[in-house]
Amino acid sequence: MGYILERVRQYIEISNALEIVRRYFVINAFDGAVTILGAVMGAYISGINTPKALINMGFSVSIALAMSGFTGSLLMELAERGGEVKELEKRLFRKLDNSLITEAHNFASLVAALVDALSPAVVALTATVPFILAYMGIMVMADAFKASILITLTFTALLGFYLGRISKTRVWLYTAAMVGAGLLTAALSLMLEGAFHS
Amino acid sequence: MTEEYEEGEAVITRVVIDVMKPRELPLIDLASALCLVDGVDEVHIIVSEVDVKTETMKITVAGNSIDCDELYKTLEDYGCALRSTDEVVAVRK
Repeated sequence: MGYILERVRQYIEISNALEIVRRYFVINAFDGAVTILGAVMGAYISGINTPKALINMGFSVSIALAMSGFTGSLLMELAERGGEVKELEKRLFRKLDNSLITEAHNFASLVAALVDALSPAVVALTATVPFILAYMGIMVMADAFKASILITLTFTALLGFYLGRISKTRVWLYTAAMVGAGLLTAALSLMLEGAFHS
Repeated sequence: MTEEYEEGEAVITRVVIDVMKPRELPLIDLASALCLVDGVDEVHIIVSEVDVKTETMKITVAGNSIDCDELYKTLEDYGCALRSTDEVVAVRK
């Protein structure tokens, strides 16, 4: 166990995985929040009012976000890091297959892909929970819509706060910008409703 | 006298090698890994040249009976390129 942990520490240090994973986490969790907010608003203005439809939509959106995140970032990271390793091989005049360097970069690609897949999916699934409660009869649909939107906006606020903490300046500005993007999405969706009704 | 020599065994007690490593590989990790090679007691690393992606260094390995194959294998596993072996000390035991 100690050996595995030591190897993982080396992989993280060599591949600079923490920084890239942190970026992926914030970008994709935000992506997941805004996507599910858009989907929920779309359902709301379209008058889709059955919990089952919204649960199916929430799960489908989560699966799509996870699949897109995993495939996209795994292939991108492998390509990007593979290119870097090839460049390094030229300078070292040797192949780096099966070396710690290649293992570290493959590890970072896989971890980045998993984070890229899970962060938006978890956010989207959490925003679907109120509709599951509505399906179980614990909540009425009007409240489920409000709760789902509130959950999504809370995620955007938390992500903004987290970014502010990372930047070590203007926490409120990052929080406001992230929440603002969520509110703008909701507002534009509502305007869409007006446009198609007139 | 000749028989006495035949009974002896040569062991490597010091090796100085010129190695190029990827910059992203921490020097401390490499030194620690080399220190764990069979027969190694001490590892000294001096970086002599720094490039954007690589570092060239002089590694001095000392011990009572250095397993050179394992030493070179460790360097290979850590993604280093052995450029030359500059000094070797062998003693008869």
